[in-house]
This record gives sequence, structure tokens and C-alpha cells, in this order.
Amino acid sequence: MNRILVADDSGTARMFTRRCLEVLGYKEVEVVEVANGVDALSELNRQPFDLLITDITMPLMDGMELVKTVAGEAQFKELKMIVVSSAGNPAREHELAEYGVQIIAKPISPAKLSKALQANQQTDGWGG
Amino acid sequence: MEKKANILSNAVTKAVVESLENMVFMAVVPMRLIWGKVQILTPYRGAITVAFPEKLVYSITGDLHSQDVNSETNKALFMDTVAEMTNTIAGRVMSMIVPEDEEYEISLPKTGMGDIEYEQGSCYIQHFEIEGSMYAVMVEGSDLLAFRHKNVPEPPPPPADAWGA
Repeated sequence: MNRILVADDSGTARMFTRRCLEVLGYKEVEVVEVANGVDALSELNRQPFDLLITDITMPLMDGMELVKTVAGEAQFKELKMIVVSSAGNPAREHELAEYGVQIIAKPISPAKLSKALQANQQTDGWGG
Repeated sequence: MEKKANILSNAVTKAVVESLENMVFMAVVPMRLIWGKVQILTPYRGAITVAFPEKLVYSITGDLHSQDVNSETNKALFMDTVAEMTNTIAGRVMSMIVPEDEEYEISLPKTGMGDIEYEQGSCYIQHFEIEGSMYAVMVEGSDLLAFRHKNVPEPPPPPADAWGA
């Protein structure tokens, strides 16, 4: 894995995610941070990423809309996705799971992220 | 011409400082708080507030972002730290009291400095200590406060041969 995109409107949450990635040994990986779904899409269109880690509740475009948009475009077929959320919504989680998205309940931790990454490796992105 | 004054806060502060200084000869410094508040929207109504001493927030934020922080220039960063911690704590509380197959919804966190805004009457407060500093979690709303006295099933009795009989 070479490039990871982290989308969250909270700089603190993005830092938590970055710290977890470092603890898991992803120190050489380039991590790009954005604060909303619109900026995330812009980054995804600008350069290739291997993994998207996104919050659900964000301004301009939320994580759910971001996942649906990404899943609708063939160019992102290999992109793996993880959603981090503090809200409990079984119906939404079921919908996300159908896109092959792993879901992490806040607070994110190295153990939870590791488990989600391992589960992601068993798929070929949202199309797998 | 009149202006608004927080007479209650001023009276409490003065009373505490004067009383402690005269009764136990201890100097008291009022603590300034930074707080975050999340409204609980469904399936219950209420609010969860987390309040941290200002200095603790500076320390946590500095550690988290590995940088020296300044109370003037990093105010947005402090508020973001408190907002994220409040959002996470409130989400975890709800995940533990709402049945697993049910949806819950919480608002975006609101943050502030100083006096905490209470809205919903009675309030349950729990205090914690982290590295010598106290912080508090406040829960408002009768729906949530009812969880202090919920009937839960008794654990099953131990089997008859639990003592090796």
C-alpha cells in the first residue's frame, strides 16, 4: 500500500487515524488528509490511492455520499474503503457492507484499523 | 443604561475563594473549562457534555499533534480536540445503551469555554481523573437519566456443583 486518503472534518480525528497507521507500521505510506467529501473526490480524481478512510458526518459531502459516488465510478474499482463513524445505524452499515466497505466505530484504534485492513485485503476493492 | 452580569457565577467564585482561604487557609484558583456538547436526537432525547480543564486540553492537544500549543493561536485546534473527544464519548455511550440492532443519532458537537450550557432540567454528572486533572461528563434528559435505574435481568445462579460438590 502506497497512498492513503483520510477524509474527516476534524483535524484531531485525522491525527488519530494517522497515529493508528503509524502504530501499524504504515510509516512509509503517503497519507493525504482532506476535510470533506468534495475535497476527497477531488484528490481521488487527481492522483491514485490504495485506501480511503472516511468519516460519515462531514460538511459539503458526507461519507455515505462519497462512498456511493466512488462505488459508481469504474476508475476507483481497486480502491479499498473504510468508514469511521460515531453514529449507530444498522441499515446504513448494511448498505455500506454491500459496497465491500469496512466499518469502524469510533474511537478508532490500531486494533480496529488492523482488523478492518485485514478484512479489506480479502476483497479486491468495492468491486471485488 | 444596564448591562448583563453573571451575579451567580461571581457569587459562587467569591464564596468558594473566601471560604477556603479563611476556613482551611488554602488558596483557590477558579478553573476555566473547555467543553463539548452533543445533542442526543434518537431514539432518546437528551445531551451529553464533556468538560475539561483548559490546561488539560492544551496538554492533550500538544501531545496529540506533537507540537507546542499556544492558548491564543491554537484555539480552533483545542476546540476541535474537545469536539472529537465529546463526539466519540457520546457515540460510545449511546452504542452501549441502545440495542445493537437499533439506530441512534447524535448531533454535531458544539464547543465552548467557561460556563456550560444546561437546557434540560436535571443532570447527571460523573467525574474522572487523568494525569492529576479532573474532568467531567454530564448527561441531561429524562430519557437518558432513566438508565440510572433500569431493571436488568439477574445473572443466572451458579450451578449446584460450583463448589466442587
